[in-house]
Amino acid sequence: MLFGLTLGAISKAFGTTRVLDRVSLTVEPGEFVSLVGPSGCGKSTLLRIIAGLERQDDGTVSIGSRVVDALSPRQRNIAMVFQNYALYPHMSAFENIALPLSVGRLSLPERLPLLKYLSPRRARIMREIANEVEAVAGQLKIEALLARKPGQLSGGQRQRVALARAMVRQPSLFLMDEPLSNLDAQLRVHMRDELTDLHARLGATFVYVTHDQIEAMTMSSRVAMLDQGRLAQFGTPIELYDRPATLAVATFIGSPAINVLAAHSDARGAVAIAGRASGLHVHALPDQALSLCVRPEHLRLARPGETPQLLARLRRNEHYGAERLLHFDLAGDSARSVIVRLAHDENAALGGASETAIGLAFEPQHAHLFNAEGLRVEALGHGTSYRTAAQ
Amino acid sequence: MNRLLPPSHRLPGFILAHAALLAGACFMLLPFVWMLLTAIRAPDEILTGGLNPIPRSFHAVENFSGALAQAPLLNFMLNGAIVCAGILVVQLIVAIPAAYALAKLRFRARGLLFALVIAGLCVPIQVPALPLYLALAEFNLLDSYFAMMLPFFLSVFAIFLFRQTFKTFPDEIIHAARVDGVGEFEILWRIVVPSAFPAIAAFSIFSIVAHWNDLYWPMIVIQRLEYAPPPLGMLFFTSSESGASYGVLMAGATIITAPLVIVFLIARRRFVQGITMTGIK
Amino acid sequence: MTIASASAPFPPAAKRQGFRLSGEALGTLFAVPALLLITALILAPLVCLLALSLTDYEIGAVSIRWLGLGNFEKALSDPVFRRSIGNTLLYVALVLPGGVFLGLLVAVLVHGRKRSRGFYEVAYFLPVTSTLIAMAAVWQFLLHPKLGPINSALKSLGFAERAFISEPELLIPTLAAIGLWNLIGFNMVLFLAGLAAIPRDLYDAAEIDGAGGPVNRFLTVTWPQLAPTTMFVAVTTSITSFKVFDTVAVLTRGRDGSEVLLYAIYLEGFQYFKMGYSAALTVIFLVFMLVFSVFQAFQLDRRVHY
Repeated sequence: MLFGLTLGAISKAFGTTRVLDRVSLTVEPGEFVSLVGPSGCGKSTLLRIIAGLERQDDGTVSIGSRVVDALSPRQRNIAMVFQNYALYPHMSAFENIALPLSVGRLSLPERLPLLKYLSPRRARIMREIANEVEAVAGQLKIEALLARKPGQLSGGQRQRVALARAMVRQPSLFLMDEPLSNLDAQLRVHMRDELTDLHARLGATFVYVTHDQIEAMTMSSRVAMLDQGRLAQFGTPIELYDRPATLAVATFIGSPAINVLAAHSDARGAVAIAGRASGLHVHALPDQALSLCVRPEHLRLARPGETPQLLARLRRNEHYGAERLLHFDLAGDSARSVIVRLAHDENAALGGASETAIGLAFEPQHAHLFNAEGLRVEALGHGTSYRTAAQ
Repeated sequence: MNRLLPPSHRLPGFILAHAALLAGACFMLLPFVWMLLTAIRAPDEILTGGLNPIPRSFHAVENFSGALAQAPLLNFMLNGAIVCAGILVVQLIVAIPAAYALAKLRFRARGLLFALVIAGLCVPIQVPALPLYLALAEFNLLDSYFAMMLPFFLSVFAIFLFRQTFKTFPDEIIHAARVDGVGEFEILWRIVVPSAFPAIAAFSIFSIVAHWNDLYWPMIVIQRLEYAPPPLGMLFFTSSESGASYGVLMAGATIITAPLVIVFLIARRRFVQGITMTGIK
Repeated sequence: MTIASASAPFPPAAKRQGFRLSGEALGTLFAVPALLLITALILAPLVCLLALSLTDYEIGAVSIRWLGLGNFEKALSDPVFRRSIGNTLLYVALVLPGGVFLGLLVAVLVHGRKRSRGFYEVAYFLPVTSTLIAMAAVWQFLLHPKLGPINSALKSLGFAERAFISEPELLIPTLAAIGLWNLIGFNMVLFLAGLAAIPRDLYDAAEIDGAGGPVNRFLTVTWPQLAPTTMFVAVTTSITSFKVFDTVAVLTRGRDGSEVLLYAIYLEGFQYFKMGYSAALTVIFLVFMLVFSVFQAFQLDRRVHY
């Protein structure tokens, strides 16, 4: 059975600091949703509220069609995987995985030392539990490790044991709190793969917290970005990349980060960067300070005869094999730099390199404009027109 | 070549260090060696004094059976075991939840409790001894195991030590246990406590050694020999010098000293670890 | 898969109790036994003690009189009590430097041993675990003027024999020597732990900087690195030696020249049953202890981590 998750205007404050502000979102059954955002944005708190480890000040959490606010974590039938795995240090991998089952199926006396041997049904239940633990261990290929204690396992192995402990309960919802952040880079890429596979195989609903936008982009069906306790945008990874709703989303998603330029609209709404026309118009917002953002791959060297939108000096040229990144300092504003991303075989006539200013250009429809509050502003001069993205 | 070795392994230093350590060790071990030698000597040989280490005749059986006949030594040790076990069990049952509450739970009385624990660390048993004695006398509870155990049911030191240990336990694991449906009492006793085993073992050793050897409090509340723990029993034994020859006395001292020394020789690592962790005698 | 309840979204509420204790309720519940015992075993007795110390209460006395600070005045002018304070401080003054210095010396020497380390650790630590009362009886015999080997040794070396446990001016030094014997191993273990925590590279760096050789190594690395441990050992040793009681009880019973503070409290309170006076002496004892203990409590806070 599959269950979705609905958050209705969740708010939470610790003392006087507001960590969550009316966050609402709906996760469809079987979806893989990532909660992303910079540290301190409230994503972990939100996850802990979903789990029932923390109580929200306001709003409701529903799993399936049922409001679960009054239920304990156990009663919500969720499973959670933690950043540091949270394995019980004195128990073997087997005992760790079996614990959620034994707590559910054995009464308290049946779990106490000595007393437990008095129960006639205990042996049968323990056999069932062992079968299920081994089945899950088989799926994650950790059968050989079941007798070991967490201290004797590597990071990746601990991660698998933690996953097995989550899976064994067949929960209605998997919650994951930065589960890969303690692994080394190589293993992280590998586990990303495995988690995506696992999600496909189980078909369960995943809610995944991460501060790593690449994890969010590569694994999830939809991404919810939190910024200072508010839901900044909720959509597919490509929607967040191609049409960021706020400046925070634009700068958080994408690597290398999007180029942010200070721009200004004149009385007629024409947008200029450092006095040079950008080709964008915002008739509704004359005479305003704006942020104009262009992704590195949408920025290029101006062609001969073309009027460039930016003038800049080359500072550094980085080759990555398949692509190269050119770092420029903007002319007249050395504090601001921009990055141009070129494919490996794209030729760039860089001329006398750092001495002379080079013209840079972009297509107006690839630029994103944000007002002083950081909200997306639609510009004319594109082919398409977007609605103003209020949050 | 010599410079590559740690300096203490250079020959003159090596000899000097060993000479100093051996001399010290002789001083430390002298009472034990002499106790054992005297315990197997015949009375006439003891009375002549002298430095001769090797007993001329073997008198161990007479001395040890004499010691056991003159004082109920085994009974003293049973008393000691009962008192130590009773004290330790209650100390752990009281201190562990309190320490967990201090380390991991938020509640209004937390600051007060912690302040009292810290203040309590500064008050040795000799201070409340007098009023506690009067209270026990009032309720006719003197001369009982309970009287010997009562002042030690609470160990502020245990609360303090366990709090420090529990604080290092990751919150994440406690959260994981809540998600897995483990109740709060079970989280404490099945998950937090087992991982704090080294600290609990260290404290247990500290507690047992302290109360096995304690003389002050039993001397105050116990008048009757049948409740005496080993130190108090030994005190009765040494003062009833009437017939007890030194050979018998040393045999008695050997019997009284043996249990802790044997435990120490078996679990030396734990003793050392216990002291470095608690730092209190 | 097999178990119906596992795939249902919510286990039946009846199966596991629905109530969840809040942190507030649970914390209070966990703290209550400790709070009650602290009140009953420390706070209430402390209040009683302070009250008693202002009276002339004696067990069996018909009436109680309020003395104010009379007990304290009496104590401070009582030559026996003053002697017991003096003797206790003398005892501390002998044991404290000796215990710290010898403990450190033994630890440094033992730390360098490889194969023989176990033997030395056992030899020096044995007195700590043994029951002091029993061993005090052994010391009594060792120091016996006629039968003890120590006097026999003195005699065979041509010295006059001494009555260590009856000559008044020898009593405190003798007790201090036994106290040291009992304490050195304990301090050694603390110092060994401190030594183990000194990073090896510091010694390498000292070697490269030209501070080689045992003395230089000790002065540039070991001693400064051990400073916190030394402070801790010093405070612990002061507290232990200030509470000297057991050896006095066995060897001298507080006779002339060996009066110490705790034994005086014991005698006044539990032998002569002058509760009021004994309470006043206890208050004086507590004041001394507080000075040491406040030190210790602060250090414990920094120390207990591993």
